[in-house]
Amino acid sequence: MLFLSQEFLLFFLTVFVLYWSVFKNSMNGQDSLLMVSSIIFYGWTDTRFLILIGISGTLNYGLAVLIEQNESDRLRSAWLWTGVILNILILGYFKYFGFFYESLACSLEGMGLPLEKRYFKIALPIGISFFTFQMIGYLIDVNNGSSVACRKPIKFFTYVLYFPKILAGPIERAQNFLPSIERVRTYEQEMISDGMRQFLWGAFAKTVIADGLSPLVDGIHTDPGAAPASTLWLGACLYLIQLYADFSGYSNMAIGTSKMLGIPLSINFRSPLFALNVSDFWRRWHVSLTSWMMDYLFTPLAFMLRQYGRPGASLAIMVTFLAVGVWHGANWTFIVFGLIQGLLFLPLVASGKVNVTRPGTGLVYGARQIAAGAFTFILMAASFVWMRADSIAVGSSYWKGMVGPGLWTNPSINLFNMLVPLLFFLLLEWLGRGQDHMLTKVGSLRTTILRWSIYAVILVQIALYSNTQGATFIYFAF
Amino acid sequence: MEKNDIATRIREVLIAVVGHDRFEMRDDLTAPDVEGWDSLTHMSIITGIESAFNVRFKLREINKLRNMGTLIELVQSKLSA
Amino acid sequence: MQLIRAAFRLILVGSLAVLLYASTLALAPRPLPFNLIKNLNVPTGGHGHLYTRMKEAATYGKVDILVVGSSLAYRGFDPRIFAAHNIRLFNLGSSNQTPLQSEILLQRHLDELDPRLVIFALQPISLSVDGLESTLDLLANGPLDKQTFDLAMHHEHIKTYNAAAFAAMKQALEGPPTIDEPVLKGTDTYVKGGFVEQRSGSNHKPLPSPLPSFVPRSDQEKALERCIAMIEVRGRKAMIVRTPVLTTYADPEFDNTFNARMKRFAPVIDMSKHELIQDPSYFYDGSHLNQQGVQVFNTILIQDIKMALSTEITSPVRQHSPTVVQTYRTRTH
Repeated sequence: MLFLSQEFLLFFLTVFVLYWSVFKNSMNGQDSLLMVSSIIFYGWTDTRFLILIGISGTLNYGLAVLIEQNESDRLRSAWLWTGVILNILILGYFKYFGFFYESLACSLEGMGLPLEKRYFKIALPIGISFFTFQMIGYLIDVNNGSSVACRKPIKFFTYVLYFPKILAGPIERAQNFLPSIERVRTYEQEMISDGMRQFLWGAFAKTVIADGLSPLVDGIHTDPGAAPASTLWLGACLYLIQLYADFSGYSNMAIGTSKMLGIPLSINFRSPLFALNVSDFWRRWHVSLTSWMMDYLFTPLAFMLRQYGRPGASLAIMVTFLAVGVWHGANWTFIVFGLIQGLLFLPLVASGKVNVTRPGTGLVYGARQIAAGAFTFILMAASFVWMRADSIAVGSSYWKGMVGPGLWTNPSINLFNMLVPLLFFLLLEWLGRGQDHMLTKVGSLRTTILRWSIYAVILVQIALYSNTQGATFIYFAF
Repeated sequence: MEKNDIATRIREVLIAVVGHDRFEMRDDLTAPDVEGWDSLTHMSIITGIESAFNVRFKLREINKLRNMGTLIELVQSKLSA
Repeated sequence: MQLIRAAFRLILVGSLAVLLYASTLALAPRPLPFNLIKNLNVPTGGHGHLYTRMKEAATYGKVDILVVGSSLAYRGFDPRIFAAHNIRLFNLGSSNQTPLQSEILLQRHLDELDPRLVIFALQPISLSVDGLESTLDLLANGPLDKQTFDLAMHHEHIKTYNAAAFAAMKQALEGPPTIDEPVLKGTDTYVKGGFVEQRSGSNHKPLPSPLPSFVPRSDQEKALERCIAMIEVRGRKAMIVRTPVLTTYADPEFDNTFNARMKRFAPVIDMSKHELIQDPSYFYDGSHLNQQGVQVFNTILIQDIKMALSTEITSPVRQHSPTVVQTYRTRTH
């Protein structure tokens, strides 16, 4: 079920009303409602994988209890590693098996050993990457003692399946999520309204900006070799905005939905388009994933390699970004993407300028900040080409074109009919930077009519600019 | 070893790693308060402290650190063990 | 109680949005140009001369043959060639038109034009798309009536919703759109009788690839069925003509099933692979004939229609006295 569909509207309205009326005074009732509705939500798309999630959830539930109960460090580690490996095996089977098999077949063929190249198509359970990482983090947290093992099945399965976040995150930490369903949830109009505001902004970003830019970017990526450099650079910048609008839009809708049920989720994006360097960017981009990678992969690695100084830290960074790349999917382009991100990080490690929180004032300082922001944006836009490229061939042809001729020609992308919403989007993103979400400030405006007018302006833009998918038509050549 | 002595030595390690002394040793000092103390230099600082006091930390102990006070306590407990 | 208060506030915000929406629409296309509003691109007199065609249809008088369909229709059936064979033809094609839109045009003009025969110029693709562009074309060139409004809703698409709202507002304020549409637009010339002559010669643009699936939509088949019922109830004949294409639009297997499928609705003349019309110099792109191609195609088609009709219907095609045709022909030149 997609957030922006009639089914979801009906589904959520039902859950919302039941949650705040019939089950208002019963925490068990609310929890059960959340669990059952989450099962329906996930099962709506695919009933088969409900069984998988059920089995995997039960396993993790039991493993966490085992880890917590054992006094001996050894046994705890043994159970922890069992859990981590099991989770990775499940993820690996569904997400990466086909990729490994094909790569193996290709390389064997290169050596003159043809392997039957059956096309492996294992159906990918939706949200499995998010779900697996959440479970691994949970086991590690229980082992570290930063979270207790949840012993209430209904609460645990709500944590696992909770419908606002099951499909695409945020990846929730147990110590954030479990306490918020342990406490009584009371109807607070301010939180509900804020959830609706956040949802509205997410819907705008997704339907108008992301879906509107998508055909423009797709057009370039079908044949990047044919476009002049100017088009490719503009296209790369637009893709970064598209991806941001798409993913942050989705996250805002998820977090907003959850707020309407009185459950806060973790923040996922902190205005990454305005980052001042690469490390700053990754602290703002997909925060629930990057902080996961930071805590559960980079820190242990860097700790292990700590006596090797900067080379050790650099290695830890490269491995972490490779993992970030591979997490996105089974394709060589994601591996290239991870490598590039790691390499972009190394100069910062070498110069010791990972943090950029140097306060200052004045014109020169301001100009420097703007230059740093613009440089970072363009750098990230160029590297994110690999996130979009369908293959190594397309990606390298794109990069070749970017340094090719035509940098100062007029880009062949018609943005005119998107100009109004695009500028509006960037303006509000700028004004709302550093806030919980972009409409937080709008929500605190005193003048009711001004507040409502902004909502109305967003709604009207959705009507006049959103891209409705599914209605693709072929143009006869008139 | 006295708490103050530990603090002084940790301060020396910190200065060596971040390259300045623009910070004040307090129990509630945290990494963001010190320019240059980030996720990467963190490990250098930990290694520096380990060799300064000739102790070995565990990852779990590092994960539980909250501020300078807890770091000093950790070193103290390691030394007395 | 809180829930009700919240719902009430939502309704207020919604009303404010509707108000703002209406005032934005009122500003288009001046001073707010259409191409600044992505989902409201409905200029009167757009591609394909539909405005002029509908205006002419209202005063054209009775005809022998009426053609409906997409650009394959209005670029493929030249009334001047038919007139030379004593057949009076009107072309009601419009860009991307599918049976859903043909139905509306037939409802408006069938009785005025009173044709003996209605030709549906089709390709398999015509039934596998929704023809949204064509609905927008109808809305932009107005009038807005109940059928057009229902069709706009049927698409369940934000663009047709906007276009319908826009048309309704403008019609209420200013009446149906009136413009002076030029006869000459780019390389297109409007020819009396609904035809558009293309002067760009040969320009073989590649077809979109991969080609979409040609599975007919059920709403299109139902619309086609309703159109044919509308014609037959008036005692007239319907016929499906597959126009010539240069490139094969689908695999042969599907081509044959498509013909078989269409025969359930009306007799089919398949000219898509006629050996006399396969020369690339007859086409200006993969599916559109140039004037030379139209000449060849129409001449062959006229014979085929005459043959088909003489065996299948008892009453011959309405004949005109040469003088009538003469008057008509001088008019078109």
